[in-house]
Amino acid sequence: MTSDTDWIDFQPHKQDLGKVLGDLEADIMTTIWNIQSGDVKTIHRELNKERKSAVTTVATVLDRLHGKNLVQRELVKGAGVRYVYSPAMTRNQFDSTIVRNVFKGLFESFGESAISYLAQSTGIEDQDALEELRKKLEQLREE
Amino acid sequence: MLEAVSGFIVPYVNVLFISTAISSISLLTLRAFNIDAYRARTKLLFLPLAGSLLLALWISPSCFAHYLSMDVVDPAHIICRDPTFTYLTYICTSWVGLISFSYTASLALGAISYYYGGAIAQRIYAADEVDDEELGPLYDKIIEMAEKAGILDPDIYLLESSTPRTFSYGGHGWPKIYLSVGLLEVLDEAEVLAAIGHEIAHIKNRDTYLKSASLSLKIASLFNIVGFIVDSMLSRDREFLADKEGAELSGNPRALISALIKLSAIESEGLSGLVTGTLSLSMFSDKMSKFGIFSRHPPLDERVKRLLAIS
Repeated sequence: MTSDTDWIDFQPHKQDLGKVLGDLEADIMTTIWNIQSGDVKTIHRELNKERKSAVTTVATVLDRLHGKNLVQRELVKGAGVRYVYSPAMTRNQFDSTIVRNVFKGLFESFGESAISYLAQSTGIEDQDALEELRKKLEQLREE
Repeated sequence: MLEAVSGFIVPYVNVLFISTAISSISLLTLRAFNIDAYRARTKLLFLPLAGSLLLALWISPSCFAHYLSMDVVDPAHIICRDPTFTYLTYICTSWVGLISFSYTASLALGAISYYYGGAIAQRIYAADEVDDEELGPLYDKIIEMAEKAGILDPDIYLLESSTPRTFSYGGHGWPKIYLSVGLLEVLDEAEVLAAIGHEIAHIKNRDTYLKSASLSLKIASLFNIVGFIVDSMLSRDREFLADKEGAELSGNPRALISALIKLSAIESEGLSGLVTGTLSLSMFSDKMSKFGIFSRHPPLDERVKRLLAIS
């Protein structure tokens, strides 16, 4: 069974959005978050201010992002037909989705080590607070 | 028993041998033809396909007669005495049954492709007809090209798909053009018009009829192995012809070249789902038989080379 977040393939050694998206996917998502909505040609024009890419490549990647439910599109007719793309979630919602899923995956596979590291790196030494954290993480794992 | 088996095999081998020989001779003759004489080449290519069909039909009555004249005590007929399976066995094993089945199926498929191909394509791609208000200025330019080609104003259908794709269907009196949102997204207006010019040229050249007939003959080419090669060659020739005449219609061969290059780039980037060429006539072939003698579409570099020659 597939879920909405199957596309998350976390690669910790990469930079920024590249940790979960391809290079061009990341740039196109950033462009769409900036302009909020636009057709392929608009997005291509905006993107080309930063990096060179073919309109055909942008169209292919937008189709892939739509398949991952990261962008939504609406068919606009009248004086030409085109899809207008917009982000399916805000940047904050996107970040939360990534964090939630990555943490969930970590706790599922490496529970105790993950909690110890979290406690250590946040400076939690109080046993009660640590227990509280463990319970909350347990809840997260069960979600 | 041996007689019964040879009764089935011998005529088959005869037909196969003669029709393959006819096709091979016609393929060899083609080498002497001017590469741009597309129409003459079509006739020459169609000949062996149609010839093998006639040959098989001509031979079948003699096979039928042979079957009926066989001695009833022949061991091969013992099974036919079984009242339950008589008819079934007769159909399944007899040469006549084989011929009937193959030709009925091929004619039926050809007819379905011809009469319902458009409706099937519309259903598969959830295509909606669009008017001039929805399509904008492009609509009038398409109609203009259709008038120039001497066909009726085409119905234009929009495929709600981001995969760039265009194909056509129908004859001079009922032309239909299909184009996807993806095509309008990645091509500029001149390129879209050049691509649609190619499709209008297909309609003008009655390629829907030709492909339906060719499909029928190809399925019947159980009797002509070379038929597969001939059919693909014929299809490639019609693509070259549509490129040439489409470029004349749009008046912009270079736009067609750039459309072809863009679309092939998209294909290699993995936007799949391009239409194969039997029910509908697309600009590109399926990936399976992209090159070689069985490809129904010519290779990109050859198409570009020929378009450059007329631009």
